[in-house]
Amino acid sequence: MKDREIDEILKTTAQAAPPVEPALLDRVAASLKPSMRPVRTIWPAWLLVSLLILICAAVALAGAAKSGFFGFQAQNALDRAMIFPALLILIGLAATTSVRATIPGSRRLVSSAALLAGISVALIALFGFLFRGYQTENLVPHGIPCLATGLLYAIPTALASWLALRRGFAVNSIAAATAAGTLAGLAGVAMLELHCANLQALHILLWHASVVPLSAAAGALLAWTLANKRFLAGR
Amino acid sequence: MRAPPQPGSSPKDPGIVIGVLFVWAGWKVTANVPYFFAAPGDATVTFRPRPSNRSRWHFYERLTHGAAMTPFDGASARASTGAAPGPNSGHNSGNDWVRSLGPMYMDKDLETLMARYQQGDHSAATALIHRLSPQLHRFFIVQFASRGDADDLLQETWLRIHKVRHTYRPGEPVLPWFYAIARHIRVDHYRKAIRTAAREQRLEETHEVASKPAAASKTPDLAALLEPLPNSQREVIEMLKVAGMSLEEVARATSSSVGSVKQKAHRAYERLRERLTAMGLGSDRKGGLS
Repeated sequence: MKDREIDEILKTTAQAAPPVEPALLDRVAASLKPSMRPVRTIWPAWLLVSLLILICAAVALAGAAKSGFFGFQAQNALDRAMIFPALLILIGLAATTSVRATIPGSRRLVSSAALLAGISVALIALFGFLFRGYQTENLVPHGIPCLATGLLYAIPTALASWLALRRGFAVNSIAAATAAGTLAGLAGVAMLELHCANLQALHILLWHASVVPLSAAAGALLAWTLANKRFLAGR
Repeated sequence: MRAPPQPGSSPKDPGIVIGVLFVWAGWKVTANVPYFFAAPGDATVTFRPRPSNRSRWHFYERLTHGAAMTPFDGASARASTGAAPGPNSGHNSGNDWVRSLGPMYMDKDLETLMARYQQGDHSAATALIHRLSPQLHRFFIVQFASRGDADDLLQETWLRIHKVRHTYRPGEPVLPWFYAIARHIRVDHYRKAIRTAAREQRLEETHEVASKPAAASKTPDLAALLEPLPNSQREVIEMLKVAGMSLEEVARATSSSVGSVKQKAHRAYERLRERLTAMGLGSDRKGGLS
């Protein structure tokens, strides 16, 4: 059987489907009438992506300016040349994915889960390539403050990103929140790379890189909780 | 020699204060930016401003339109797109006259209607409802919803579309936008049905109440034909072959890649071929994916 024949059969069967009741359509149209007013369309994607990148850069720089650029000073030229452009590219990718996840019918680059996995692997590979030192001395006492700081700076990034994207989130809010959480986590990592002078590979791989998955998980959990509440409320 | 290790900042750092200030500034900026980034002639920036923004809004209106806006009657839109006046400019439900002009004109017409809908034109909304509801309804029925469920899902979809109509950007493909929302509504409905079924299981077992009318109300033809396909393949076939969307549009609507859509369509056709051959329809020859 040829594909064209299957097409014909599908078309024939589709035409045989019962029509929608006109009364139902009139009811739907009438229900929209009271709230019919002009709306302002959502911003262009490029503008939203640029705004998100600016937010990440601003939060990371503001955090490092306040706490000190010790990490940047401790890094050598190769470290700086590799880390910050890579972070900028990853932030751009995460921002694009976030924007596209909030707008229905957008062309998608990668899924939010694939984005998170890809960025985590990329960070581990980058840090593993650049840094050496796997001593476990003071691993936890020095690591917890870094993790907390990274997450602390992810919060304002996430809030500002939500503000920028608040008119979107029209379809899969969990996927959109995961992508936004990933983006916020990257801002936290950028701030840590600027500020933290501990260049031990184990410290960075464990405490810096884990900011991204934790932040993404927090975003997904928050969206899931809100979606569940809305479901239970019957909305 | 690298600097000695230093722990990161304490969580007590006033980063949250910076964050709050940043959020406040962002709120202020986002309240005003659209006036300056919208293109001249962009008729979508027509929301009613707050009193404090009124003078700026009038300035913007003059800047982009050259004159105060008049209520949209549809005639100017047809004139600007070159589309012929037809029954869909009002409350008519037919769309054959647009189809006869070809898909490009149909998309243009839908875009025009969508733009008018965003401007608050109720007749455009009604025309869209009458134009797109049959295919959205079929989309729900194909997913094995009963007729009643499909009606409910259709209403819910239009309410959601109305709520998020600002997320459609002029110039973007219209159908993927509608289908993405419809698809999301269907997924929500599916989750809700699973939860409801889980809660109602015990009651059914206890009282042994027979409830089979739902199956009887299903549309037998298309739904039965696509029955052996998984949900993902079924929706791809419905959009590609029944609704007549392109691969790119289906990929947008389903948040996947074109390659993934092709693969799903290919697998679905393999299954359909087997099923139709088993039913004794058509020959046994294979063909490429058209």
